[in-house]
Amino acid sequence: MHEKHLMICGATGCLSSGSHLVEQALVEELEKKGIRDKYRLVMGGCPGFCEVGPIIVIYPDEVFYCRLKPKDMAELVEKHLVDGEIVERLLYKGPDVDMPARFYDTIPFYAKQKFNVLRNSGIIDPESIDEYIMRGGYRAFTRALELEPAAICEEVKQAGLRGRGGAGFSTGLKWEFTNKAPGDKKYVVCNADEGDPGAFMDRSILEGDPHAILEGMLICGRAIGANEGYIYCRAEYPLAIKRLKLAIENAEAYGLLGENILGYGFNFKINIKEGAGAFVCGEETALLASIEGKRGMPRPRPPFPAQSGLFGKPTTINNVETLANIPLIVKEGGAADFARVGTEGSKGTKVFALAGKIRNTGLCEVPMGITIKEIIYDVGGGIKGGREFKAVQAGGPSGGCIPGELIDLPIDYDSLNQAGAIMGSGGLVVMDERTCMVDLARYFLSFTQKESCGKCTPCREGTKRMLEILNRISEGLGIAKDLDTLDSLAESIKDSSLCGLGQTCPNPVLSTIRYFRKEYEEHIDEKFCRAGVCKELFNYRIDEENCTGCTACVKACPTDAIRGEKKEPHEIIQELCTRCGSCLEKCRQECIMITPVGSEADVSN
Amino acid sequence: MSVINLTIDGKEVEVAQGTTIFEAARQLGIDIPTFCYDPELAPNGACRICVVEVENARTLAASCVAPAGSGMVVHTQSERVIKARRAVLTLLVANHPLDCITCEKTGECKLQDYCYQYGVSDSDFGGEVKELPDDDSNDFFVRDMNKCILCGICVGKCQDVIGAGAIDFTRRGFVANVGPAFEDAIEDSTCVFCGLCIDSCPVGALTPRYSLGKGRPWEVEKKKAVCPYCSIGCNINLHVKNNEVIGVSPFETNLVNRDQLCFKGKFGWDYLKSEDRLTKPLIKSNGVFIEVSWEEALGYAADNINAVKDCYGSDAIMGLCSPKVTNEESYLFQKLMRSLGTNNVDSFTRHCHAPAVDGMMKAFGSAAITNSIEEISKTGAVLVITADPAESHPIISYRIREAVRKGAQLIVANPEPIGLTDLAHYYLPLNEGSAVALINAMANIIIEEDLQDQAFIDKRTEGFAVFKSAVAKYKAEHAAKVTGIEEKELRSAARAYAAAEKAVIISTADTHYSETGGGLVLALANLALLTGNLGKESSGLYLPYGENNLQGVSDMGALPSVLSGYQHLKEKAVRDKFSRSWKTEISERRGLSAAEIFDQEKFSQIKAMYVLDENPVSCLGGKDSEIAYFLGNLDFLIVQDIFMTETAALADVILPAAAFAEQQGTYTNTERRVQLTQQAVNPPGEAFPGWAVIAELAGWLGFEWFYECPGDVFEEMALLTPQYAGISYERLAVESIQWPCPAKEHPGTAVLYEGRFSRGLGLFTSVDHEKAAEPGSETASIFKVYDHACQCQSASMSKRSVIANFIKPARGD
Amino acid sequence: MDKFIDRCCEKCSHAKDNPCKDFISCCVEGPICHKNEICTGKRKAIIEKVALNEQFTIC
Repeated sequence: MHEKHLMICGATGCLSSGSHLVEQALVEELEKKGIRDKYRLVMGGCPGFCEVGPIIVIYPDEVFYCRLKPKDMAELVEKHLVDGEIVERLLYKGPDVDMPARFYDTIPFYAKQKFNVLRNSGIIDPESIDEYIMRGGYRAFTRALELEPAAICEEVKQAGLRGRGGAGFSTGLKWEFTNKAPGDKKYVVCNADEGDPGAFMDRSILEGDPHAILEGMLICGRAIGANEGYIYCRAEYPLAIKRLKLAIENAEAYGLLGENILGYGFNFKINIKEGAGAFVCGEETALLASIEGKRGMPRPRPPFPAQSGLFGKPTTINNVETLANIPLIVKEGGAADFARVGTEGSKGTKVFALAGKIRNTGLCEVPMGITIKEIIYDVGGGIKGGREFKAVQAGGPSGGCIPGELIDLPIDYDSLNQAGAIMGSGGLVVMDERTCMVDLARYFLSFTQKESCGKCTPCREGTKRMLEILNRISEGLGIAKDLDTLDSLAESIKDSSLCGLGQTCPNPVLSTIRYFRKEYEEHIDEKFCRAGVCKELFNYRIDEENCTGCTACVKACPTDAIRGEKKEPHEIIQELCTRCGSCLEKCRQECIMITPVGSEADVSN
Repeated sequence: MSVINLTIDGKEVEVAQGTTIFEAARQLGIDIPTFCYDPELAPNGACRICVVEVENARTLAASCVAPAGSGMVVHTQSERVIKARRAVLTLLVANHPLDCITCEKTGECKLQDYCYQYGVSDSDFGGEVKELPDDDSNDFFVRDMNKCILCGICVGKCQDVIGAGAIDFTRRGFVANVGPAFEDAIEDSTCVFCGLCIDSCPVGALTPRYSLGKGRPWEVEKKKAVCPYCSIGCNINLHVKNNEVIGVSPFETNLVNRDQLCFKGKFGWDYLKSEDRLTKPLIKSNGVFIEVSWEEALGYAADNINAVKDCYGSDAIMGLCSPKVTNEESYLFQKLMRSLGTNNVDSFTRHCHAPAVDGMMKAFGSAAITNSIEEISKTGAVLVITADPAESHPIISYRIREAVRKGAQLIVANPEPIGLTDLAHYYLPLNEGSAVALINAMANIIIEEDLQDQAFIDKRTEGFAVFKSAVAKYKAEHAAKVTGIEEKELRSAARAYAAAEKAVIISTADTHYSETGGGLVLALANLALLTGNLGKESSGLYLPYGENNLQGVSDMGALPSVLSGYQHLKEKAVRDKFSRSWKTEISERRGLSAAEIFDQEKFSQIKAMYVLDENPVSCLGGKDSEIAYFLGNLDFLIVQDIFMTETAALADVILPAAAFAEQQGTYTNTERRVQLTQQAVNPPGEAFPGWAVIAELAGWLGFEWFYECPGDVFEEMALLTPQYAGISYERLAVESIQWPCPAKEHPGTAVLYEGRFSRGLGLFTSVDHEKAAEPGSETASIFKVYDHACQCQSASMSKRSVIANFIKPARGD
Repeated sequence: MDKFIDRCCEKCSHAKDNPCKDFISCCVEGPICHKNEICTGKRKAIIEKVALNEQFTIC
């Protein structure tokens, strides 16, 4: 029996902050002291608060240590494990708490979160099927085996679950279509090709709680009459693939996959198909083509996959997060519990990846209906560096931006659609006044142009032309009619493209023009990038009145473009300045201004 | 099939459920623009120019894929639609070389046409434009991928229709392109140069080399002709400018080859302009050929024939006809021979097919493919045995692919893998020489499992009881040892064939290819009879012939024992009928067959030969062979041909003939379809249409024949030939007709044996695997085995064409 | 009994080719098909090894 359990976050964010080195150091310390066997160490799933990683949570003590470094392990072992005292300096600290917070319940990041889909993440060893079962796993599936397939579809419908991949279609209704489709052979497909840049919600579920997906697929198979499933997982997630393979192996060994499962005469087999680096394969029909061994290009619909999908058979395709919700809904009493959370049109919770200029970056799971304001300020801790909130991009390359004036908008499929944004897969990129909206649109459009499969004219050619216009604008070569051309092109592309990628890729452009038209006009007419991003369109200037002559910027400049003696106001030599921004970072007086090229005026406020 | 109603541009239309908006609009005569739609392919929805506005729908709908809905209201020319179409065109133009002035496609380019229609002359995006290098790598066509608009039609055709799979989309986004794997040159890919991509491309990305600089589309006259290579007889358009053939394309859509060709038809016609063409009559004098006038040549020939006849008798003269010449030529040729008093007339390579012919005659009473080529696409199962349709008769392989796409089971039984093996549900790599054992075993399995069509057997066949006991010893386990195919596979394949409602068997008439001669044909006939797969659509036995008019040369009676329509010389009534028409006596002595040339004793009686478009010296061993010796030592040899061949080199007089594009005439393809080919250009020099040469010679020989045109010849023949009786040039000008066609009002016969077999009941004939291993005719060892038509006849046409390097050598070469 | 798939005693019959319908609930609440303190204890031991706290399992 172990004295304590140390759950170390081994997921994306913390790994890249060095959590594997932290773990190594921890093991070394314990072995040095000869007490390794007293403690259970688990490299587990993501607790969500990536900003403060690496993270170790100790049970049953319920202590949350964060911002860890390998050299902290000596103290942690000595003080907490051996002496039984909490190491305060390693607890969570921030402007949102008066004193260091000990555990989830006192950390503001977690206050408004509700863990449905992430219920097991960071709590269990992702490679253990037993732990999944201990926490209620496969009970919903056992119940589903007792129910009629149509009844399962109905329950999921009543719960109000909508597809979490982005489209927000009623999951229960989708299942019902496939259930009703004629044919003996049907398929369940899990879309684990999470492609939005910066999105890692699905990754966390796959790596942290893979059995949830298997159970979701089993229940779906029972509901639609399928006996085989595929998980299409992007190859860039090798750990997820490894965990899924192991989970499938274990489930097969336990008789939860295979023939005559649990004696109900139900057969189900799950295969894994790895993606090959194409964003477009996240689109349903392109995904199916890829599984079939063909080039990943979308197909026209109808026929819809529910009638004719994988290998021409009726198929249900669901997103990872959608499937992870299913066991919660189908368990006894689950549908009602699920529907109690959220809004009228959008039930349940949603996992969001918070990124950008926000203090608390990471994954959070919140009830639908929470407002943008609450996510940004309560969960997200507000804008980093105390700056102003400018906008938040929701839905990645398919989505739109939501400006400050709409900050009270509740997160809900329908309200986001009306605002010209989409829920998307859940990526939220928060922006302050140092984000250039033109550059943002350009960033997303260059992504979609590279990822466009090339099949249809509007997307293949249109995104290229839109991108060329945005490039010109950001280089100071914009002309008056560019906005009209962008508008017109965007509309045509939206109206005529074959698949979701094409139909939604103009959204970032359209919504940034809609809410930040002045910024575009400033780029075009005045050749000025107010945010200080488009390098051809601004200069850095030092406000001589406020400059204290500390020479911090002089030392920071890589091209020796700043002249100035100690205690004398400094000056930037524009011909040498590359606008890399190093001086801006170092200046403590905030006296470096962003000004139009060739102008003296301070417009940085 | 339920119907629905919808409104398009204010007009109501009723269509079957499942019809697309595009097709529904067509029914109303509304032509929606499209680049990527093709009736042979599943709708792609790629180009997006066919978008239409559907009231209450969120986005525009691509009409080529969107199903028409009940009560839908559609606008095909609304402002929103026009804007979207102009956007698509502007985007395409922005990335397209605007060199219409010199582009070969100008005048028949869809991009050009739609830009004109929608007023798009340029784009002002001013951004990047593709700059890909031309793929100039092969002898046949040039690929300028900068003009490609990625409609995907070529990819669909290459992968699904043809099955060569040489090209696909590569890369993504703006740099997406179409090409072979790994961006290899097309020459290094699996391209079979069928030309389908070229003929389907809506813009000028793909251009045949033969077109470059030759003429604009509006300068070209298109003449309908029939391909001279294999026995499918594809309908082609000859593109003619200034009395020169400058190109070939498929003839719109027709029941033989739809809009498809193979590399032979598409590219193999340039032999017409070969320098080797004979252009003047020649007489050999002192071992050297000198050019003479027609009068001299024909007079000389007539004199010498008469001399031989007077000296040795009529039977010292022999005529060697050709399976490549028109029906009119064959008919007149054998008429000439018979008018001279002999029945010594035959065609050579018919003998490769003799076992097949004999086999079918025995089983059914007629020797011809039992059904039509087009029907293959609708069958439920296909058994391909010891044949490679993709090589020998590509059109048939296209139909097989289509059948499989539509759900048919495919069984391929061949010692080596063939192109179709990848598509096959059952591939049986049987041991060489074991085909009969395989088929017998399949028949036995079918009987064992009671899968035969007993009703058909009882009503339409005889000899079943004997057959059943004879085939009983071909138990699956025993057959497995002989054929090398596992019992399980044999059973599955047999079941698949028998279970289908309609099933076809495809082999080859050139049964030396299968090394089991006529025995295999009988075994296959048994299998078809056993399962009732005869006498109904999309079933039957297909043993397609090699050369383009092999069917016709036999139909016309260029055979030693029968007259046209296979009417027997033995029958006095038959001889009398022909006698009256031809105003000459007809001998009842059976003539010498071509195979008997090798019988020294028999052949020594021949002193004079008239060889029509044949090259036995090359086919049968070269200039030092026995046959060369025979021919060289004849008293008199006339050769009528289009080239100076090895055989012609031995002649005493050479008569230059017109090639297929240079004369009007008919050919009968392997599905008994009589087709009319037009004269597109004049023959070179003083060459003349073959039928006219024979008629002239007949005149010099004292026979009074009066034909003003080939149509007259055909008319006479039709009066004498029951199967052709209802066919005329007038009817053929409108559409081709499959015999039997006994009367003017008769539509022709696609499916044989619907009510009865030609011999009454179908006959089961037991074939023993060991016996069948011997070739069916003595000529077996002499002939090389040819995989496809252009290798036959010494490849005289194809080796003088750009396709020469693309032909596989015949086995045994 | 190290894992739930291991049988607690001979009375347990669950296997891939002879599955027991109650397998899942039996893992935590069992044994179901028979009463035996030792078997119950075996399951508790598996759980206790990994349970982070009292609220870990959900029944």
